[in-house]
Amino acid sequence: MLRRLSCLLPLLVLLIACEIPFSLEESAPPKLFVQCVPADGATWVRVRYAAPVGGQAPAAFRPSAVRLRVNGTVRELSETADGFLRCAAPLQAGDAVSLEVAAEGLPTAFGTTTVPPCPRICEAVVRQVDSDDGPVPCISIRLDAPPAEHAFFGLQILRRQVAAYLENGILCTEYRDSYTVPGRLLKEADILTADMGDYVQVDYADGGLEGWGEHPMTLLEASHFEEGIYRFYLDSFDVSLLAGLSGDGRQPVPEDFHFPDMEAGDMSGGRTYLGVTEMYRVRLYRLSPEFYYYAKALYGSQFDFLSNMGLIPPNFTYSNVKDGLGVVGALAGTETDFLWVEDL
Amino acid sequence: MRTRRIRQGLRRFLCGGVLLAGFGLRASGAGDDVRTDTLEQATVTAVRERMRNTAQTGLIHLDNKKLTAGYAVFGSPDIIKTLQLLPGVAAGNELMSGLYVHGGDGNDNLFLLDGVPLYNISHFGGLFSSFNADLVEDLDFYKSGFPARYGGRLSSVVDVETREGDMEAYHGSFSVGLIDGRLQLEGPLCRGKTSFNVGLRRSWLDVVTTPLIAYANRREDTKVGGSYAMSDLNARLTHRFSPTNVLDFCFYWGDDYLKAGLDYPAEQGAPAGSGMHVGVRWGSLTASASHRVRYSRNLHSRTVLYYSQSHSRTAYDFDLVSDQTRLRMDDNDASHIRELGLKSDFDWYPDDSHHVRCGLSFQYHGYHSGRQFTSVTWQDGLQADRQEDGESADYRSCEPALYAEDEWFLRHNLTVSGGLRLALFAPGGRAWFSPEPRLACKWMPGRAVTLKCSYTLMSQFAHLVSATYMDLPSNSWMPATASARPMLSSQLAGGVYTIPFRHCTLNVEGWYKTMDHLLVYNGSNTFVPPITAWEKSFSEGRGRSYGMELEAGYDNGSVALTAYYTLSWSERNFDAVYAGWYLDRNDNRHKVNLLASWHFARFFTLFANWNYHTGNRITFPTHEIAEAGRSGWYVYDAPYNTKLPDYHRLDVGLDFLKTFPRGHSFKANLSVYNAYNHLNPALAFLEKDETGRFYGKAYGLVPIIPTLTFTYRF
Repeated sequence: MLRRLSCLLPLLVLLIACEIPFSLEESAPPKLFVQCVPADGATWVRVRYAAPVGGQAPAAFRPSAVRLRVNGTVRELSETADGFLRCAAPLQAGDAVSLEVAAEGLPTAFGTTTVPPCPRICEAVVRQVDSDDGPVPCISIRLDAPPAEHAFFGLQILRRQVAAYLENGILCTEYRDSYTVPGRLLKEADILTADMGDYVQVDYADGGLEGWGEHPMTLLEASHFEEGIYRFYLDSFDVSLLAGLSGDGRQPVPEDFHFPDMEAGDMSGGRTYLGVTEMYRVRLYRLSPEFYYYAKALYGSQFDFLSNMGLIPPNFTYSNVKDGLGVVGALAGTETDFLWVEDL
Repeated sequence: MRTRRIRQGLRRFLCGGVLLAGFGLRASGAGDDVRTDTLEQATVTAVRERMRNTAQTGLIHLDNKKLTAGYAVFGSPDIIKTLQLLPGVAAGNELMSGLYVHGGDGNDNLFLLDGVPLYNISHFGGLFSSFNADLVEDLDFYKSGFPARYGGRLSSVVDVETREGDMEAYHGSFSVGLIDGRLQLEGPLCRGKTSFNVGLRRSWLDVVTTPLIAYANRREDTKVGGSYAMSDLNARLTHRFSPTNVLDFCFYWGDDYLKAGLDYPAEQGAPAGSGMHVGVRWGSLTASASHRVRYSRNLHSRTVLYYSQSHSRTAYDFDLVSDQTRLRMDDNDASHIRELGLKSDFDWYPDDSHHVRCGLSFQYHGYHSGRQFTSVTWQDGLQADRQEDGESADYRSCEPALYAEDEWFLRHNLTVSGGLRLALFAPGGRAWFSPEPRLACKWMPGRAVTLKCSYTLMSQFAHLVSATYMDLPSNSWMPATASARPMLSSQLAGGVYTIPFRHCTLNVEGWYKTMDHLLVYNGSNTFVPPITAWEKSFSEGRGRSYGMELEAGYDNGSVALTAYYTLSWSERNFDAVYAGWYLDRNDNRHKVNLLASWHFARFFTLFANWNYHTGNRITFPTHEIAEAGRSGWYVYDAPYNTKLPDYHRLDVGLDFLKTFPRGHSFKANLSVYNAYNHLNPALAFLEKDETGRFYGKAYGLVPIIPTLTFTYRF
């Protein structure tokens, strides 16, 4: 019945709907797009040509000048294999980083940011909690002090699945890493009216910031911490449910990786599996406001269909780059040791 | 023939009397009765003169005849949709009850029903307005030059007055439209002293859909349910102690109810099936007692004690049942705004050259928004776990205000009006004081030409907290706070009002308006706005709007032609969104409305209305980032950067009115909305053709809608 109705609805819409193609009368000028991310050990710079919608990108584009300054001093940049520019000079909290990019026929883009202080995790605890779907890991991280009101954070959770097996009588281990995102228990979560701001995720890895990818970073504000403690669940029903909405970048375990479906004692390919366990490493970044606003807008821009209908306010792409697009935003991170979960 | 001559003579006399009154040339020593009769009987016929002869700008007066005549979407005359046709007003999404006046946000209009503020002004998510046109006597729609007696909103005032019941005889009407029915009854309770007027509306969509859904479900294991109903009731009780001492009791109740559900069959061994249900109920309630006293021919007053409430309640439930366990989750959201108010207005004519208005008001507001979530788990029939969670926000505030204004007839062709409104808003522990000057001036250089200008400052202490542009039950009103300050607007308006030829009018008005402390939602994608600390999900900014309106009219009694043209700009500046000013989504550069009516062949009246406006604006990606091996990486640089195709449609209506003896009448109305079936864009997407060229693709959703309505009056 539901299927029948769900088929009828689009048919009805199709019957009465009519496509109205129209040309885009107003076109923005071409600009430089910049992503400059000073992180703990280095600064990554990505410079691209932002072609106006309706216009054409040049066949080959290369900026004529890229100047990175840290506290007013120009730093050297080297090109990486994946098309980034990189400066290996370490940074400290409070360092002022600015970037100026020039290219022929385009306005010179300029942006600046300040490296935020690195957060300090005093305590990280993982414990097992019962839920309707069985036991789920619950992780609590405690900062050395409650964050200030306008402090912004990014959270990444690295999950390592470790299998132990005997091969030719030798004890071996093998592991796979993937990223997961924080979730809430269904029975505790008012998911129907949940503030989707609690589930904002972007992809971040080594200076590369994307809306979607394999390294999900959850954006947090100071209000997510209760007296300096942020607590979240893993592998709960909510994780998978909300992942569908927020773009969980978790990757399935590759096919050649037999566990964790294998029971202890299973034999496969001459191996005798002894057991599997999981461990988690939490990375917490303090984000500059520019980085946070840009990342949040990047996430929101994936959901523009409702705003195109005129139903909700549109998702504007935040930028602090003068005469250009993109962001110059910093972050500073720390990570915990691997946290073991027993008896899962 | 003789009677006709007498009527014509009386009409000329009455119009002349009003003209003299308008020029301030009141005959001293004229008897009270003569003057009262003159004004009361000639008010409607002399509206055009009244507009010309006061210093008021931006005022449009509509009487019941204008509001109920013509086409009616789905069979119900709609006040908001009538106002949407007027110059200086943008309608927003098609068929909705959006009212964006002079670049406003839609939630900054003051709606008064018999002097009582009404917060929820539509049914069915905006498809119908809350005002039952059957009972409406008239309305005043102010777009600029707001008199000092009005305050609390930025952009417009819609002052709706319901009709007193007939003091001598019983009357009524019954109407059946496409999706609703209306019943109206009036008459004396005590002949010549007390009367009532009651109107009831109800949609009957659920009457049709409920059996249809039951029929569709009859062979299905999974049952789908859903229904919607809206209803409202207006009542007015009037008692005349004397011709100069009148007491009114007014009541309004509006209710919307929507429910939907899905029930799965029970799995093997399970005691019941899983299911999910949602029920939403929202509406308004107002009640007032109004005392009108005419102390002398120079002084009269109106005191209103009222209560107004707007509320919504949403309930979801999920039931997940397996053979041994059951998880049930209930979510209840509720919000309301309640207002208790007392206001007194005085009109005083100290001499022939002054008209003084003054008054005071006191409002007590209660705001509430809350959510309650409950989750219960049963294992083998025994309760195993129970979780509860909830949050709520409650605010209380007082809003005293007083005002005074004087319309000073300096010379026979020069009038100056000056007023001041002082308002105080005090939500617990915090107070805002808002002095609001109101100035207006009128000069008549010739008999057929009037020049006017006005300046007003307005403040709004309540914000509509909404994550969407839609009129949803989840929207709630919240008071101004330290980080969401009261909104302010100042507007300068002026115009030329002429009567170039007999039966013709030609008016031109211009305005410049600025708005401060506007809010825009900056939270994550959700339909439900936050409850606690809601201000953090909103950014503050500014707005400005300017333009001109042109109105040309011709009316000879049987043929009426009206043309409205608006040239306007509406802009916003929110630093959190974009560095600089940008065009607002309802920036309709040009708007044209052509209205015509023709009364012919004794029984028939034909109406036509053509609407055109420059397309609304939406936000498309502005740039695509060029990166090898990757496409579709878009950047949204500027908000509302794309104009949708222009909007136009034609509505036509035909009234057939047959009058029977003893005053009974039958009216059939055929209305055709969007007569030439032009689908106007409702939503749009960015597309790329095979050559890589970008273009927009919009979809129209509202086709031609014919409606037949029957009304019987008795």
